[in-house]
Amino acid sequence: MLNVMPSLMKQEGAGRASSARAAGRVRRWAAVGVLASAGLVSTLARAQAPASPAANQDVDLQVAKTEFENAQTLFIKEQFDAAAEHFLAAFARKPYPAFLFNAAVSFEKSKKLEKAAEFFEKYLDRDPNAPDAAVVRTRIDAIKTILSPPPSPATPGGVVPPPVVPALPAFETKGLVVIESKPQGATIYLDSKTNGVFARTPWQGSLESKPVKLILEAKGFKPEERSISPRSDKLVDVYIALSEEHFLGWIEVVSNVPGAEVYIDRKDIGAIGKTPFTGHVKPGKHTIFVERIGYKSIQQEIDVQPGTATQHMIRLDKGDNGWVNVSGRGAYGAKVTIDKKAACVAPCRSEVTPGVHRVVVQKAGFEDYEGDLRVDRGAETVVEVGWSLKPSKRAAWTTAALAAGFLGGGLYVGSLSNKNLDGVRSDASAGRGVDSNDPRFSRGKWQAVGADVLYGIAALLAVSSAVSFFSHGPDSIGAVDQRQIGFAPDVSTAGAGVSAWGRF
Amino acid sequence: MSTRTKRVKAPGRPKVARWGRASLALAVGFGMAGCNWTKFADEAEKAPVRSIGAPSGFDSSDFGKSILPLSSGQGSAAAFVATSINESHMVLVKIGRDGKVSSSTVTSGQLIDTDGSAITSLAEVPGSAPTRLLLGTPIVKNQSYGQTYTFDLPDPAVVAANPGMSAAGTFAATKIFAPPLTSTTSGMARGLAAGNVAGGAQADYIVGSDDSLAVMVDGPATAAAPAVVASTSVDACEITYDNQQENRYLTRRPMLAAQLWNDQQQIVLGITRSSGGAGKVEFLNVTAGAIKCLAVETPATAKPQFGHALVTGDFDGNGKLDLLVGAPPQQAFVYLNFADRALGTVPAPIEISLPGSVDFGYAVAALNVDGVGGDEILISDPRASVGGQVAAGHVLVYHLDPSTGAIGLPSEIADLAPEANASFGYTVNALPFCSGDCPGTAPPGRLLLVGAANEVFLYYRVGEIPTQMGVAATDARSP
Repeated sequence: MLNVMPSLMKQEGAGRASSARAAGRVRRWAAVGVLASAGLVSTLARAQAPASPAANQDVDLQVAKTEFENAQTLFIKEQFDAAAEHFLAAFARKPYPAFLFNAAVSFEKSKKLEKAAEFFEKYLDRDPNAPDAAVVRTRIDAIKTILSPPPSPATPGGVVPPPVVPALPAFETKGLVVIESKPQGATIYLDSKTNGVFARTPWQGSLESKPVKLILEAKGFKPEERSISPRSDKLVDVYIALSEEHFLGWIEVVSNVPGAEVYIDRKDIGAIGKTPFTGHVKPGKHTIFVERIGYKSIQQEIDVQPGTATQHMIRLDKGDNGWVNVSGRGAYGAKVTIDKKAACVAPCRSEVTPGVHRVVVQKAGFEDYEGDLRVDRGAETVVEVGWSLKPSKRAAWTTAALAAGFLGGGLYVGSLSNKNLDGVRSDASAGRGVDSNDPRFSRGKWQAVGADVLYGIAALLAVSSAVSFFSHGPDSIGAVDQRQIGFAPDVSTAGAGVSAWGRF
Repeated sequence: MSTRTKRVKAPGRPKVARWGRASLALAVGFGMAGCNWTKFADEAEKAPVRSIGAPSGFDSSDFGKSILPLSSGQGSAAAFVATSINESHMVLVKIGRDGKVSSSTVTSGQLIDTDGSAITSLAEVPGSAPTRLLLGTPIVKNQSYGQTYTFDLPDPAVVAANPGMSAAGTFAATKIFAPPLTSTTSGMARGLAAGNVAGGAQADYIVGSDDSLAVMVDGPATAAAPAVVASTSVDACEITYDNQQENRYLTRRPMLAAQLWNDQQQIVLGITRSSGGAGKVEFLNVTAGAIKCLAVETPATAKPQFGHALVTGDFDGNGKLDLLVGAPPQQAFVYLNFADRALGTVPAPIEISLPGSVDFGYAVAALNVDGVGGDEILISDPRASVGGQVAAGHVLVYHLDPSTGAIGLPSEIADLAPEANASFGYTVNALPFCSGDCPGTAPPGRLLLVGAANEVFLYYRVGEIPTQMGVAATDARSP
């Protein structure tokens, strides 16, 4: 089941309609309009430009941020009560659930477990679908167990067993990321659009403490990117004003199968995203490709008009073919041949007709993998090759050199033998009394024997060398996964669609 | 999402087939490049000269030093008998028409009567059938006397009919005595010959001891029919043999029976000396039951070893026997045309000298090498240096011009790979080839048989031996 972070989506909006904030936005828009028209900047980030006019627009946020940072400083100094007070002060300005969570953690650190439990519960009230909701509930239970009175002893003087307290993992305060944009409702992507839609502005919540690239897009506006570094002790406030884009077209590509890869014009540069995909495209004729494993690829021509928005509904039909996917560690650069035809260079996937196919994966320095693999319709057969090193040919070359040496020796000794024979024949034909015991007979004979022995050794060495040249180590083997891919309708509280499932 | 994984091993590739093909290709390649060592054996078989190594039983230096060519091939194209001059060993070597050589060792049981003594004297009884040999052990082991034996080879037809039978047969050497000589006569059988010198119906056995010469008329002597004996001297002929000579000269006493003059066969006896004057060649016959001295020959330039080697041949090609006398270390003499002279008149010799030689004249032979005219004169020097190898030995071939009586420069026969102390030419013989044992179309001939220390060389292509005549070679072997 695929689910797109519904809990985070639901965190947006609390307190969003305050009048002060609305007034600030009006002023901020004015400033943005001036800057955008000057062509200097297209975005403003209050966190990074505190002295700018826009930086002072949302006073509550600034106060909340100040309180948050003060609270974090006190928390680090282990002045947990004071820290909790400042977290609550921040919450008073901006009702972000993370402030309640942090206040609860501070109370827990200061051993005020009742308050800690109270604020953990408030945190869950505010954000019941928080990713850590289950953990927090366990925490609350553990605190309540500690706070509950010990049971009376069964007999006077009996020993009261200590309460069983679940081990409490160390909790740390949460950082906070606030993302707002102009206009509101811009689509947020994290790192790449191929990762799919993350959320829509305005959004607040916690992110992992690592650099992340924000990509914001809104229909009719130029997309913007911003890199941020979320921290557990910081409140990162991001505001991006998108400039209007009138000369680009806006397309939305959806398919009956979510998650299909969307290419535009060129497939070799990779997918630009997954369905449902939205984005700006240069005006003109384009070709979009939509592909999904198990389905026939779709190629469609579109005509993008500047300043317009079009939706393209792509219907993917289940494919008749299957796929061979060569992957695995060390597969990079390996040449894949299917049925004696070059298919691709690993890691790669190649579409084949259902049936048994002869798959050969070759990589320099390693033994080939050869296998007859069965590929079913609409299924993917994944081969992860375990490479076996080819044995060194040094010994083969050495043996070949020795063979050549012995061959040379044999030729030399053989020539000596022939010389003896020629000499004897010459003497005999010249009427010289060559006797049957002439030493040239025995010398030539043994030289011939020696030559043949040398030839024999040379032959053996040559055979050995040839064997070494032709021989190879253990065959590379492949771990083969045969994945049958299917799809089924899916209806949930988050929406309806088609879910992919694998049967193995 | 769960995952089902199965490990799939790649199907085996046809490695063996590939290796097999590669191996086969290599094997074929190397096989084509390989040397065929058997061709050397084939070439050796076809070599114009056959080297015959010592059969088992001979020590490392005496095979080839005592050779008796047989007039009959003993069922083959040619045959000869070789004995050890150091141990009691004897072998019959047969040469097939195709040149193949086989040898049959006379067993120790057959030679048991020799008491392990070396057989250094050999003679074939002419006209004997089966072939009878005379064997001499002039030094019976640990004794001061010698002994004479007869040894009968088996009938070749019998041998042929019994495939498992040795060509040397099963007959034992049998001691024979020459009464009135006793069994303890010193150096008995140091010299042996056989021929019809007494004019009887059978061949006579001629046995020389150190101080006597006995002729067993018509075969083994008996008390009733004693041998005709001459001791010490007879008339002008000296009989006593100088047994103080160097061992190499002492091995056998030179003698032969031949019809040089137009009369019954004569005995030719070499009288060599260790010192004290020139040697002699004496001509004797048996007349009226006694040994008579016909002539004594000592050329003016003769040295003590004059007469060490004797052979008859027809060197001038007139069909009459001539005599070649070896006189080591540097001389040989040719006597032509005895038959043209009165009995006992020795023709003037033609001297062949080779100054500076070491043992020139140690062995001599008569063999028509070039196929033209008469025999060539073959004189060996087994201690000559050849190719820088001391005592490698060689045989020199001289051609006598019958019209002028001049003897040309010699041609050399030597081992192509001479070795020091090989003693090539220790014995030199003309081996009858295809003398009745070959198919009727095969012409009889004689091959050169040269003995060396521990080796015998048989020349199949006598005509290849270079002479001034330069006649084309023919190979005696059938294809």
